[in-house]
Amino acid sequence: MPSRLVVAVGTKKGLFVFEGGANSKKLELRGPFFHGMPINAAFIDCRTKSPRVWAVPSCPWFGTTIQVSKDLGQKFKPTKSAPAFTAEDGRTLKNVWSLGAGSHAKELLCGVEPAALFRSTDSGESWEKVSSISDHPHARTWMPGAGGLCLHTILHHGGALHLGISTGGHYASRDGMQTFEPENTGVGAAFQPVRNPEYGQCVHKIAAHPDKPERLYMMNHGGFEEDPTLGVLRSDDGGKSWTSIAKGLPSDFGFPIVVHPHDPDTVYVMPLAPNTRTCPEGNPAIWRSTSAGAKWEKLNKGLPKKDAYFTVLRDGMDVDNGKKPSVWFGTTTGQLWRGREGGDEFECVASALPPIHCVKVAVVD
Amino acid sequence: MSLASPGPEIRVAIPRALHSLCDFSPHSPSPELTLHGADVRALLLDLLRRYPRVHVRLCDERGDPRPHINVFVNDDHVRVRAGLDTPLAEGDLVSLLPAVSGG
Repeated sequence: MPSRLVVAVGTKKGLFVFEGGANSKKLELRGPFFHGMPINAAFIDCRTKSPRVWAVPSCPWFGTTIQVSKDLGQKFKPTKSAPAFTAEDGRTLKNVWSLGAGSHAKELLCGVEPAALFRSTDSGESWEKVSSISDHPHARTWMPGAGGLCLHTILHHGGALHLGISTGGHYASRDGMQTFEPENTGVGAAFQPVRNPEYGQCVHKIAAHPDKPERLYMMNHGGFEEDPTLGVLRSDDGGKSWTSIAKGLPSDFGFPIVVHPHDPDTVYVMPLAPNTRTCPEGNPAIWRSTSAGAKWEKLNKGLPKKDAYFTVLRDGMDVDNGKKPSVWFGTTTGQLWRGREGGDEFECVASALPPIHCVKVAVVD
Repeated sequence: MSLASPGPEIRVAIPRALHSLCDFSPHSPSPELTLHGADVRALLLDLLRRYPRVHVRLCDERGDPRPHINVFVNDDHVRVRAGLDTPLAEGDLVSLLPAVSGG
């Protein structure tokens, strides 16, 4: 079967799946699945022979289920259970913010609100809390940001498991999740009494490329006029320390950060106006660096040139893994955009979806 | 509530969205569950025991109704009575209804 392009779009009102040939102009739209339910987390899992599309409807009325499709999003089936705290724990699950790969094909990791990590070793049928981070001595002192107290980033990279927590900061485990330590040197927090606390930063997203195990990129909560070095960061020592790469950007505030699948030096962000968290001057643009953040270029060919005031949320941007990857992003105004040739030219794939929470894309065989 | 005394028999109305989890007859004109409990808390425990797939959708990990689920005993919301300690009597109708929240 020729390669297929699959785009899973989680919205405020359900999941939409786009599918087509890897290079085709037109994509077929399926859905909405779980109509009316917010989808904050989706995941296209290519570790299995037939790829699986995962989605997590977090229903305000009836709670959360973990849903999986084995036919590229034609139909979904719930797993036997979803992550849940115990009654003794005292916390109750409000939302799922991330679903990602574990260390083997049947292992999944799930980040939730209030910030905690759950693990499944049987393809999502049963879940157990990962106590080393969920019950970390810091955990009960983390504070919620505007999006709630959420564990939103799960990233295996460089032999470690990196987590992003808002507002908890960046934590890493280098012993197979036995222990987690905060690694936030250089990660600032303008909303704390000290600029560089040990933990408690409002990390928005973390990304990396497997070919550069020592390097990670981070979108941290920036946008403070008096300190424009908080928001866009890079680590060259596996996440232990971080430095600003925001010079040249119109704003160091934003939510997503993604890395080109074939080039660890190429990274994308979408700067937003800090006070409104919408496109600066109503003029949306993706910014690309091909030098690991040393220089940035504005990409807006095909995007509106004025009067566009949307937001792109932390999981609202992705890059496919095709031969000539496209950058994809979804807006809070319900538009799905595709930037072909790594973002050189954008086209609107869908213009009137519900507000988009997450976009996950993959080219699958 | 002791195991020897399951409490009075109570009719329980379940949200339509969850009817598929209740094994209702498709021709039932007014699908309701029949559960037992001396108060609402005990009734929810009976729901957990007999219909765990329904309970997990309506109640959180502590066993409390989810924030957007309202519990009525006959015509009264339990918050104007004794909350989950509201006593139940034979023939009461307990309605578990999703709130008109959202947007």
